[in-house]
Amino acid sequence: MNIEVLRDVQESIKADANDIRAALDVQGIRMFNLMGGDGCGKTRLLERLLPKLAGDVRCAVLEGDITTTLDAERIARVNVPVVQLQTNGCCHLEPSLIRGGLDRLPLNELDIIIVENVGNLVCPAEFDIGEHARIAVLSVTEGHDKPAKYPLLFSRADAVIISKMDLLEYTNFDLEQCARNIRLVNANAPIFEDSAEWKLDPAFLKWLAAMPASCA
Amino acid sequence: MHEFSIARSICRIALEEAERHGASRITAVCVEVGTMRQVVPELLKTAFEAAGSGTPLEGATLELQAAPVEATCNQCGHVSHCETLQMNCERCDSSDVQFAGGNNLRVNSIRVAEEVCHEH
Ligand SMILES: Nc1nc2c(ncn2[C@@H]2O[C@H](COP(=O)(O)OP(=O)(O)OP(=O)(O)O)[C@@H](O)[C@H]2O)c(=O)[nH]1
Ligand SMILES: [Mg+2]
Ligand SMILES: [Zn+2]
Repeated sequence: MNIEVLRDVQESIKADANDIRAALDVQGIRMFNLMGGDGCGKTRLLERLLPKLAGDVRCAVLEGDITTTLDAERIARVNVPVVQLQTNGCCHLEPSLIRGGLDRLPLNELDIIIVENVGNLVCPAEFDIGEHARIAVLSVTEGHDKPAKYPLLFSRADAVIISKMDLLEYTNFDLEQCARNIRLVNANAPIFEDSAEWKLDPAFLKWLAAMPASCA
Repeated sequence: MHEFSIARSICRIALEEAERHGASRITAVCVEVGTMRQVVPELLKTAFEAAGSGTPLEGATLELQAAPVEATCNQCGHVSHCETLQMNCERCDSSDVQFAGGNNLRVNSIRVAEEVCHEH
């Protein structure tokens, strides 16, 4: 006998994520999901961004990694509250882990939480973790074809950062082709260029600040 | 690797539905997978078998149905449906194409072995 079901496979994860988002909305906190391949420069970006925001915006970080607390130690050095989330072999973060991390943060003293997801272009994109916006990071050393090869991450991104621009001249990375590949799956997300040797793009800082808390 | 998480969710939904219909054995689960979703069918099937073993899903087959992505040409307006991301418009060959949809991940139906004995 055939039974019609028509249920979203991720219904319970989405419900958990929506609960997290609603709880953050009540607190007036915006949460960002920072995603990108391993080593694309996510933590390095945070090390530069967080001191820049200090004073204006109260930030905290949830660091997702398969193992080790190395990234959380780097964030702690810039004096920002940080919780290391270890997935113990799992390739992505899910709402249940995020909830545990949020419980350990001083939520009533925060404006922004940035979650650094596990370095991986595939799996993290599949899971809503209760964020308000997603930031995809792609380094020029990974190649301009990646948005076409890993479309889900880029299709769901609210902003894309092309990182390690100082290395552009040593690669065959084609910025125009990359933008075209992003536009194949994402018509609107702003694309920012960045390098650890540059100042942060003011347009990116403006984008971060403009994202209101309830715009899930 | 995220296939294991997805397989667990599929199994939970299938088991809930079977129980609701008073069925004690599930023979197949039909899942729609959008083209944009990066699910490796072989991995998902292996994970599904592992997650279902020792439950009414033991021995059930996982049937995956591809849900196409919609490609709209920004030059000529032609809309096509494809199961891989084709980079060029099939009508005018422009590379100025916009993809949308293909994000579904849905349990469409299950097949169960027994007749329904009681409805709730
Ligand atoms: N040349 C150059 N190197 C960079 C830049 N940003 C980061 N790196 C280097 O790239 C390496 C990886 O940077 P991380 O910030 O650890 O990258 P990540 O994305 O956090 O890595 P995972 O968390 O392991 O996925 C480090 O050696 C960084 O110093 C950049 O803009 N230019
Ligand atoms: Mg890192
Ligand atoms: Zn066309």
